[in-house]
Amino acid sequence: MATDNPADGYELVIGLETHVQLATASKMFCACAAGAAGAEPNSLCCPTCLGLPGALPATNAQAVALAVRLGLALGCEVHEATRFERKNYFYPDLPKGYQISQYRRPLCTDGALPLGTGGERRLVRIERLHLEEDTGKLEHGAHASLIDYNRSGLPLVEIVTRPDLRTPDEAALYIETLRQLLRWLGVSSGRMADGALRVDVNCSLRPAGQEALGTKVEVKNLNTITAVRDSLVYEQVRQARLLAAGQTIKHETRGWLEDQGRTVGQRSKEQAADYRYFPEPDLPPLVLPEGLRSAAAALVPELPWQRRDRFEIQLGLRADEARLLTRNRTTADYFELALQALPEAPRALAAWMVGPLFALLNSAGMEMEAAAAVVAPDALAELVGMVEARRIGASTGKGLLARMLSSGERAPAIVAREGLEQVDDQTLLTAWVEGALAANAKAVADWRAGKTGVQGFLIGAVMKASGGKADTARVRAMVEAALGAPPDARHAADSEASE
Amino acid sequence: MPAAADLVDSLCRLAALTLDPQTRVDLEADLPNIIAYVDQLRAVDTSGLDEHDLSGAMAQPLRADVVGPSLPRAAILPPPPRSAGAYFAVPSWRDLEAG
Repeated sequence: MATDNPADGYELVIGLETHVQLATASKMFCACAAGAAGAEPNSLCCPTCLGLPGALPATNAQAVALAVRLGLALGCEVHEATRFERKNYFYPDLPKGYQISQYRRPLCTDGALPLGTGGERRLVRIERLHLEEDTGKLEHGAHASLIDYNRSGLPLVEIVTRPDLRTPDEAALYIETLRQLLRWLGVSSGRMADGALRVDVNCSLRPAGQEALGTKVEVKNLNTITAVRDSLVYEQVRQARLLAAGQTIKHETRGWLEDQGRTVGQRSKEQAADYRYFPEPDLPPLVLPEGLRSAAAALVPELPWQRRDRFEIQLGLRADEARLLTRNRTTADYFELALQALPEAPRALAAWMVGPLFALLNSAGMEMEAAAAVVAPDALAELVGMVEARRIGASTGKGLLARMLSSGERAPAIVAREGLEQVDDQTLLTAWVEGALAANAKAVADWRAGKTGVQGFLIGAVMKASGGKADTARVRAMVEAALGAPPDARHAADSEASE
Repeated sequence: MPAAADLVDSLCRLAALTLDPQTRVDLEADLPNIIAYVDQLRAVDTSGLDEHDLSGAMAQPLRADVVGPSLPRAAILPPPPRSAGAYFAVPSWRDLEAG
């Protein structure tokens, strides 16, 4: 069927290259502080990261350890012996005239990142993960380009996928999943706004069903997930229109103009030979020190997708609950600690976290770390346990949680002080029900006339009379009993009797 | 192999070089000879040798991740116009790229 979408009939093929700043204290090859974000321009520089003649690089052990940790988490083969090479190109953000990178012998190869959940999960193959140094930051003015070399020499890993992604949304999911993993492992802040995670997309189109890949176009330096998605949507349509018009796709590097929502050609794509890679003569081969790999492996915890599976399969949580509870490690650990205090109620705990707790955090703009410092996991478990035991109502519990988050006080103390515990006295409950029905005779009459919707109003009136201390389910049953059979049922019974 | 003139264009762009006309003529003439010489070197039989073999290589010592002092900015910034405020300054690179 013909459609207006020019990309119909073509398959989009996407591979991603991500540059990830590793969470070290110092730079990759020198001792300058690695905290470039927010620092005064050119305040974190030395002869090595400025590329001054005679300055020699010395590799940061922690950068290597973090890269190995990430490589192991991605299921890569981690190579014991690798080396650095010089990637030569001429640009003002690179004071040495070359970047120390890895080319023919990357640190890690052949891994995979799982996307999605359960039966819909699929693997995006990782071709390579290598170490390199970052470049400086340029700001282009009308008469001059201004350079800040604070970023020059920051430790990066570049992660290159195989062309396994097929849609802009899938590419966005890959970045979200990778960022979640980086933070989970503690190897990077993953903050795209600070340049700690930057993306180059490689994309091509081919007629649906064709095996051979089309001509690849690279869109560089995308620093938001929205930009990754939107630039791919744009490229998909642009390339499809060119192909439909019988034109060829130019193998080139393009830039993303965020404000205009389009890509623009920057330069013809360099080939590897143009970079004249050769082994870095100032650094002997990188051989992993004894114990580094095992130490890194010990710091790879249960991974987010593994924990999500366990939450679903072992604890019986819904897929969306498991996904939300594993959105970061702090949240997942918090849930598990709360579960230790209330092991009999995983589903109730999950519902309280993804429901009332997350809603309160969202409205307050509060992070989970901050919440955990105020409401300890066992304090949440204590609250949920009181609701589950029907010592307090769910509505009272939600109010209590908000107060706990603002004061740090624990639920039992507030309940005892303010007498919020649910009333179990049948005589008192009956009095509240009868009083509410008597005070709302019109609503009762409406109900009898068939307006069954007023039942909720009557239950609310009883709860109000109880000061929120009555068990809602019990009140509902008592109100229903007091009102008698629903009007429809009575009509049906009357009809049957008259026949 | 691209024509010598195209190759010189490509190399000049990568190296950000502007050649005067005579140098360009000379280089276009020399470049095939330079490449032929490299091809001659490539003819040396290196079969059986793995250029990437790292076995027995001396390992590099790694540096502990400890922050040390950086240079004062005043010591690294050149005088204007090669600096502007806290920044190094170069001619507007976008203009140069646009040619």
